[in-house]
Amino acid sequence: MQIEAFYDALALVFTIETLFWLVIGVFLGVGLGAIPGLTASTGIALMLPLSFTLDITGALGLLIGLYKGAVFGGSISAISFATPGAPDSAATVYDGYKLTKQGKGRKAILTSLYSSVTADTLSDIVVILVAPTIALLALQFGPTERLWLMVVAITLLGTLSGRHLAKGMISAGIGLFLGTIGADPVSNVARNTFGQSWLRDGIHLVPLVIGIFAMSQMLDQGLELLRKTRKGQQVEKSAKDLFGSKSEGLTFREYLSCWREMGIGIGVGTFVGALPGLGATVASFMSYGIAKQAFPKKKIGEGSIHGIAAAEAGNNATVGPTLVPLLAFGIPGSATAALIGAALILQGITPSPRMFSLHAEVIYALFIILILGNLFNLGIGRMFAFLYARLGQVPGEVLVPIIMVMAVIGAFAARGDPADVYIMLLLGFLGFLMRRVGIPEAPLVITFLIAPLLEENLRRALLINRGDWGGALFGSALGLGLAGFAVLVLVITFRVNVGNRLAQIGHEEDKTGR
Amino acid sequence: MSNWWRSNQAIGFYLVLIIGALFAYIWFQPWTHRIMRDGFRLGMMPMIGLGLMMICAVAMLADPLRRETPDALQDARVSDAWLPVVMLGGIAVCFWAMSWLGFVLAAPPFLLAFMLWFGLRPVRLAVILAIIVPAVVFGFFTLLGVRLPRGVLAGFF
Repeated sequence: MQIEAFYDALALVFTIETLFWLVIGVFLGVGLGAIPGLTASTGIALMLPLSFTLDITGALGLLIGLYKGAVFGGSISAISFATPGAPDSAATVYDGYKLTKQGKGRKAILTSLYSSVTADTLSDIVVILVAPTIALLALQFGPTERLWLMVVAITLLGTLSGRHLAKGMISAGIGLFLGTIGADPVSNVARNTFGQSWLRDGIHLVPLVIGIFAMSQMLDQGLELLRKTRKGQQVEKSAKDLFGSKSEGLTFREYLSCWREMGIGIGVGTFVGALPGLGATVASFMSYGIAKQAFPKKKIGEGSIHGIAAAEAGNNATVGPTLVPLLAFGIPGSATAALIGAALILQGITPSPRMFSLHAEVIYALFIILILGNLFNLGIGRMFAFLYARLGQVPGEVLVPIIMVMAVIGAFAARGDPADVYIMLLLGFLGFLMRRVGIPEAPLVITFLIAPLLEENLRRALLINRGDWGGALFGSALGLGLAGFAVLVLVITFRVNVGNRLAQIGHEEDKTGR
Repeated sequence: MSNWWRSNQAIGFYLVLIIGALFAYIWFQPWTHRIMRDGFRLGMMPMIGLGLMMICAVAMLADPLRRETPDALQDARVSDAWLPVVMLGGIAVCFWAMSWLGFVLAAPPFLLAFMLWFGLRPVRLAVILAIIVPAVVFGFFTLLGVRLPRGVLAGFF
């Protein structure tokens, strides 16, 4: 451990500015999470331009705080109105809403908060222990190995991001194509600009993420509003139950009684979070399913705090580990990790294993922020969760136009270039079409970020091997092994249809749980 | 068969046409075949991206999920295609107006129109929100040092 860098990190984090942005991040995150239809990715995409104006730790505090807050916040509306704030809180509905109907909404929300924070903290500790070791190994990789590692990541993302392998890979292909627009990363020669000089610098990351994550979602919700098919409105709203002074709280004994379910959530969430492509929704449903099978006497699914603990520990335990591929290899494993990686890039720091030696103080600051974020999440969640429950009742008719305006401001404010706004709108429409036909967005954004690195490593490998493609691609045993693994992932996913099976986890619970 | 156009196979078919056209366009561009100093063809990476998409689109024509219809297309109507375009057009007009009217004057009509279009009632509430929200957003970003378009009001701030 570099003690000096650690002290530098402490000095960077424990400033009023960083702590202020961390609090703001968690505060906004819990609120965003509590509003159905707004996810952590949408929130981070909208906040990314704001992070430019902050220093590196302020930006990390804002984004990581927002991420942590949003993952917990999703459970608030799931418990209050049976309308999960985000898909990863859907498993919480089964037990959470039943408890609310029994007048135990307060108990349900506190269970969700405590299990979320416990799982998040413990999985963060795993990240702090594991990421530097993996990064040390990754430093031994040459361009060939890095190239194949990126191919493995793209393959995993494409195959596991949805139930349809071909659609996931199409999304990755679109990201790769968009990532090549503009000057090529090695010789700086313009290409793929469709004759437009304003595309010479390529597509900027901010309009891309705002368009794909925020604007597309708002178009989708706007359309839903115009068609008046919102299921949420049919659900009986009972926020009053949560505020009643008679509503039961959670005792320490009850919290401790959930340790097995939280343990399952932490194990599953940490593993799933570190794998590219799976994410919090799968972790949440998997740990819920395992806990339900393992402890039939606890009556999970019938209004049990143990079900909430398993689901919420599962989704929150993915928050830290999702950063492992980003920090250890420089390859984001999820859309949110890609956005945090983007924030680092915009601050002039390229996520890679070399970050541990070049910017050790930033890595330590990130670790401290991960842990501190949980404390703030606990405090803010404890104080305001019951007020946030009311946010779920803010009508979409108000939210959608406001977020559309925020998206325009975000795209414009990043560089002050009007072209970015029009690109954002075009990409918003592309994202909307992708949602409609069931093509996942995450592989697009991640491959877009990886594309220049992929090309750089391929060309570097070719240079080292004097233009010999065989040597550049298969010149090392590890590279060959990674190439074989990528092919194996594709074949297995196609034969066993892994994506479909993972998607079915949620659907099966849906049939039995409600 | 009447619903074939919504199926994965049909989506694969549309994608093959679009990607094929894009592929042909890129292929006939002079830069695509330009060889760089390191021996790398400039158009190789875009072609890999398109190739990956083409392979997957062709796979969608024949894979086991080809007869399925994506959930969002189950009850899709023609208006689902043009309503988002109208929304985007409205936002584009709002942004264009911002450049000469400024954010504070251009955002309220947009917000009011969209809130009412989406069904917010009473109208009085929509009017109040449409005035207050842009003012708060403008103040917040000004505090952060982010300069939003000021348009004709530039002299006042």
